[in-house]
Amino acid sequence: MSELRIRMYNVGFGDCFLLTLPDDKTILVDCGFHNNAPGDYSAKELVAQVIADVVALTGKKWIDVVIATHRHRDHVFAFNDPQWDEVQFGEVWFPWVDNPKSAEATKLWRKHHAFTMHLAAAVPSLPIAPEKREEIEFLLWNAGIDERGAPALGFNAWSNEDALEKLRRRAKKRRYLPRTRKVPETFEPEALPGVTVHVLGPSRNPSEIVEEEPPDPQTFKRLALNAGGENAWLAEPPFPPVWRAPPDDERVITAADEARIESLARQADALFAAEFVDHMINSTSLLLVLDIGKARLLLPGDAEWGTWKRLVPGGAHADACKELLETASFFKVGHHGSHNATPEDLVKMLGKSVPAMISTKSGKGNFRKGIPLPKLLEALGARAVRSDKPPEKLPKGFKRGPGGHFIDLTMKC
Amino acid sequence: MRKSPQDIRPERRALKIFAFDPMVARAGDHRVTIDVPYSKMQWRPKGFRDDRIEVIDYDGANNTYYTAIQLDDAQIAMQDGVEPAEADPQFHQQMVYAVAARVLENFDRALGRRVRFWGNERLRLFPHAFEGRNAFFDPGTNSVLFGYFRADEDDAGANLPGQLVFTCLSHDIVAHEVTHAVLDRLHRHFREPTNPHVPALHEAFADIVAMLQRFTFPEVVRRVMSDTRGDLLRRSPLLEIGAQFGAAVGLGEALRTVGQAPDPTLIARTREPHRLGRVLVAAVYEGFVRAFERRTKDLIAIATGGSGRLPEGDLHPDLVARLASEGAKTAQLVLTMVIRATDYLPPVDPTFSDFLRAMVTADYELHRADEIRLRASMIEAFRIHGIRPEAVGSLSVESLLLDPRDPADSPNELLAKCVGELLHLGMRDMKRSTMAEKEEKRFLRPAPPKVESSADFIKQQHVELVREEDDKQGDIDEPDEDWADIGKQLGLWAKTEGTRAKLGLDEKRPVQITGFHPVHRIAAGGELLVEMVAHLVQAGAPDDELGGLAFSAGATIVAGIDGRLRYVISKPFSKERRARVSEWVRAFERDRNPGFRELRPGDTLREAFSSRAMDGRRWR
Ligand SMILES: [Zn+2]
Repeated sequence: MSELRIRMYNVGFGDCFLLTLPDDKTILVDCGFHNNAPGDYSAKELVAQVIADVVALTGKKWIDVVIATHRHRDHVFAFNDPQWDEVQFGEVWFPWVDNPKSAEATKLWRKHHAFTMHLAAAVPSLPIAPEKREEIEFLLWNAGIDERGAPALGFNAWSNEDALEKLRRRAKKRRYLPRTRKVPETFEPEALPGVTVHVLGPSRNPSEIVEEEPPDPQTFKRLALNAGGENAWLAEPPFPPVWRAPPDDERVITAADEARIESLARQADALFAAEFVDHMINSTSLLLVLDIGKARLLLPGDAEWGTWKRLVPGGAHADACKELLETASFFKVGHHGSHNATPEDLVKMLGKSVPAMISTKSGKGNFRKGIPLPKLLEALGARAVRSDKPPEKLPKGFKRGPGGHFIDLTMKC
Repeated sequence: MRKSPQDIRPERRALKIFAFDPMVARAGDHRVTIDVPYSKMQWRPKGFRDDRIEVIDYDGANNTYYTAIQLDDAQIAMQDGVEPAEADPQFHQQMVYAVAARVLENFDRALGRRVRFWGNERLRLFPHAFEGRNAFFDPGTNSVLFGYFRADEDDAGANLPGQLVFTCLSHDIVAHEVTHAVLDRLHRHFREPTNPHVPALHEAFADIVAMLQRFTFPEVVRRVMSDTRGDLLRRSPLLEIGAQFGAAVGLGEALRTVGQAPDPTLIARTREPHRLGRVLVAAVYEGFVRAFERRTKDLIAIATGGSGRLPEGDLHPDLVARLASEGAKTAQLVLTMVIRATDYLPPVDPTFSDFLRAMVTADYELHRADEIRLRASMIEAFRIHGIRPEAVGSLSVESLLLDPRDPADSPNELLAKCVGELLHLGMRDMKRSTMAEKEEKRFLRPAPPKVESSADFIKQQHVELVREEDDKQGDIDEPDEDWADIGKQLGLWAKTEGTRAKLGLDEKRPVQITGFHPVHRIAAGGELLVEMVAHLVQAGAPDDELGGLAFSAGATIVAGIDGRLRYVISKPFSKERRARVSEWVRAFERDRNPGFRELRPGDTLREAFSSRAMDGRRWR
C-alpha cells in the first residue's frame, strides 16, 4: 500500500508544508511566517530544515513542485533566503495574478500598489490608537511593506515581488493558475506523474477578486491629510485662489458645524483600508485540490469567503465542486484558522473524520483577530491538529518530529 | 396682477443648469434654464440662503470657502444666473440651489403643504464638501455634502484621466440626495434597515424623483423626443429617454427592460437592496410609460390619419411639442402620486407592497376619476415586475386601496381638536410661505460631534431613533411651540385607554409622534377636504436576537376634522414580522460572514445599507 506524507513545519503564524509522494516526488507549499508571531524557526533555519529534509529523502537539491499560494509575506518571504540558490525546482505554481506578463494582473496590482504605498506613508503620522496602529502595521508588513515612507519605491519593491521573482527564476517551468474561467480547471502536471490537480481558486475574473468594496481612491489622500505635515501637498483645492472667500469674513455656520463637515470630509479609516489590502491579497490565493492516488488533498492557501462562496452550496460553481469538496481526505485549514477562510458549509461537507492541519500561532494582540478561532477548532473536531499547540496525544496518522518542530501526517493513497 | 408700482416681486426665478451630467453627456448641448419659486436671498461671502435652502461652499478637505454667488445681483439675475461651466464654482452653487429648490417645490406641490425641516431649519448644501466619489445627506447638520474627485487614471470612462469631476453638477445626484434628505425628514425610521425593501425604497424613491423631475423640463423632453422619433411606433420614445437618463444614474440597464417582459421572479429571489431598488424604479417607470401612451394615443392617431404609422424624416415640430408637453404632464402626475404616497406609508419597516398600496390610495384620494387610468397602469406595471401587494384579495384598484376605517367608528374629541388646530396652523404656514421675506422663528441644533469613522456616523443616526424609547424627550421632537403643542396633544390622545390597541400598537409602551401633516383630498362629491395624517412610532431598543437591529412598531393614521379615523396603516409588534426581520439579519450574516465568529450583524448591516454607503456604491 503506498503512502503519502504531509509535513507541517511549526513556523508560527505562516505556512510551510512539505508533501512527499509515494514515488519520492516532493511538493513544497509556501515558505514563510509573520515576524510578529514566529514559531520554532528563523527563516534561515526553516529553509535549511526544508532543504535537509528533501536531500535526506532524495539525495538531491531538487523539489518537483513549489506552490506559492499567494504573495503574503507569511507565505513566501523565506523564498528570499540565499540557500535556495543551490536548489532547483521542477515547476512553480502561482495564482494567475502573479504572472508579470499579464496586463490584467498588472492593472489589478497597480491600483492596490499606489493605494497601499500612500497608506503606508500616512500611517506613521496618523493620530490613531496604539492597538490600531499595531494592527495596521501587522497587515502592511505582511503585504511586504516595512520601509517607512515607502512610496518612492517602485512597483517591484512591494508585496514581496522579490521573493516571487526568485522563485520564477529557479523554476524549470512556471504555471499561473487558473488559465481559464472554468471552475474547476483540471490538469495533470508532467512533473508529478499520476497526480491530478483541480484549480478552484482564485477567480480568473479580476472583478471577483476585488469583490469586496474597496475604500474609495481618495481615502489615502484623506489619510495623508489627517497625518498632515509633509503630506499636505496632496491637498490641492479644485479652484484657484481667486475664487476663495476671505477666511476671516463673517461666519455662516458655527465653528462646531464647520468641524463636523471637516471631520466628515476627512474621515478615513486606516484600519479598514489596510484590511482591504489584506483581504484582496488573500483573495488571490490558490485554492487547489490534489488527487494523489486515492488521497484527495484540499489546499486552500488563505482563500477567503470571496473565493469560497462561489464553491459552497448556493455559489455559482457549487455543483461542479461539490464532489471534490465532499470527498477530500485532507484539509489544510485556510488563513491560520481565521473567521472567514473556512465556511461553515465547507466544514459540514468535509465531516469531522477528515484529518486537518492548522499552521498558526495564538497570542495576545488585536492584530491576531482571535486567530485561530475556538469555534472553528471545535467544529473541525479532534482530527484537526494545530502547529502551535498540538495535543499531547496526536490523532491516528499524525506523528511529532524531533523537538516537536514539525508534525507529520501519513496517509494511504 | 400688480397692485401698485412697488409690487415688483417676481413669482419665479430662472436659473441655468446642466440637465445632463457633464460626466455622461460631454458632447452636445445639455444646458437648460429652469425656474424655481422666487424667494429673496441673504448673501454673505461664505454662503447664501433663502427661507429654506442654504448654500455654503465650504471645502472640508481644504478648509476653504469659495465665494458665494449673488443670485439677486441684477446683472446675474438678468441673464438667468451665470453661464454653466465646470470650472466656475459659483455656477455649481447656482445649480445645486436650483435643483434643490425644484425638488422641494415638487414636494410642496405634491403634498399640498410646505415641507418644513425640524425647527424650521434650512437644508444646507455644500457643493464641494469633500474629495471623494460620493454625495450624501448628513442628518446631524441637515446638510447634503457633495464630493468632487479626479477621474480614475486607469478607467476614466467618458472623462479625461485625472480630470476633476463634480458630483454637484449632476442633476440626478443633486435631486437624489435632496430627496433622501426630505424622505428622512418625513420618515426618519426608514434609516433602520429592518428588511431589504427599506434601503431599496430609500434609493429607488430618490431615483424616481430625480428621474421624473427631469421629465418635467419641457426643453429636455422636446429635444430627446425629436431625436428618438424612430422609436415612436414600436414603443414610446420615453423608453429611450429613460435609458439615456438612466445611464447617468447607473440605471440604464434597469430601464431598458421596460416593456420587455421583465423577470417577475427576480424580486422573490433577491435580497440585494440595489437590485431590488432597480426593480421598483423600473416598475414605476413602466407605469409612467403606459400612462403616457394612453394619454397620447389620440394624438398619434390624429397625426397619422389613424394609421399609427408616422412618415419618414423629422417629426413635425408641433407634434414634438405636444408629445413633450404630454410627457411632462404625465411625469408631474406620477411624481405627485409617488411623493404623496409617503403620507400613506407606515412609519417603520415599509415594503414595496406598502408603497404600491400607498401610491394607489394617495392617487385615489386626489383624482377619483383617473381618466388616464394611472392607477391601473401602475398596478399592472408592478405586477409584471413581480411586486405583489400583500394581504389583498385581487389586483383591482379597489382591493389595493388601504383599508378605510368603519365610518361608524366613534369620533374622538381630542383627535378632532388636533386636526382643527393643525389645519389652522397649516393655513398660517401656507400664508407665511407666500410672504417669504418675513423671517420665521428658527431653531439651531447644536452640531453633533466630529465623526471619526464610518461606524460613528451611522451610530449617531441610530442613537436618535432609539432614544425615543425612553420617552424622556416628550412625545415629539420639535422645538417650535405651535407645532410641539399639537404633537403633545396627539401624544395625549395616543395615551388614552384603548387607542394604542386600536392602532395595532402596544398598550404599555410609549409612543413618539414622528410627524403629522395636513393632507388634502377630493371627496366623492368633488369638494376639497383637509384631513390630518400622523405617524406614530414605538421605537424598540437594539435587539441582540436581531443582531443589534431595533425592532419597532408604528402606525400611520389619517383622521378627519370630525375626529374620526379614516385610515390606520399599522406595523404591529407581531411575531411574524419579527421572524421576518430575524431571517433577513441571518441571511445577511450568512452572506457576509461564513461563520465561526460572533458578530453583531446589525451594525454591519446598517453600515452596508446606509444611504451614504448605498450611494457610494452607486456613483462609483
Ligand atoms: Zn441614494
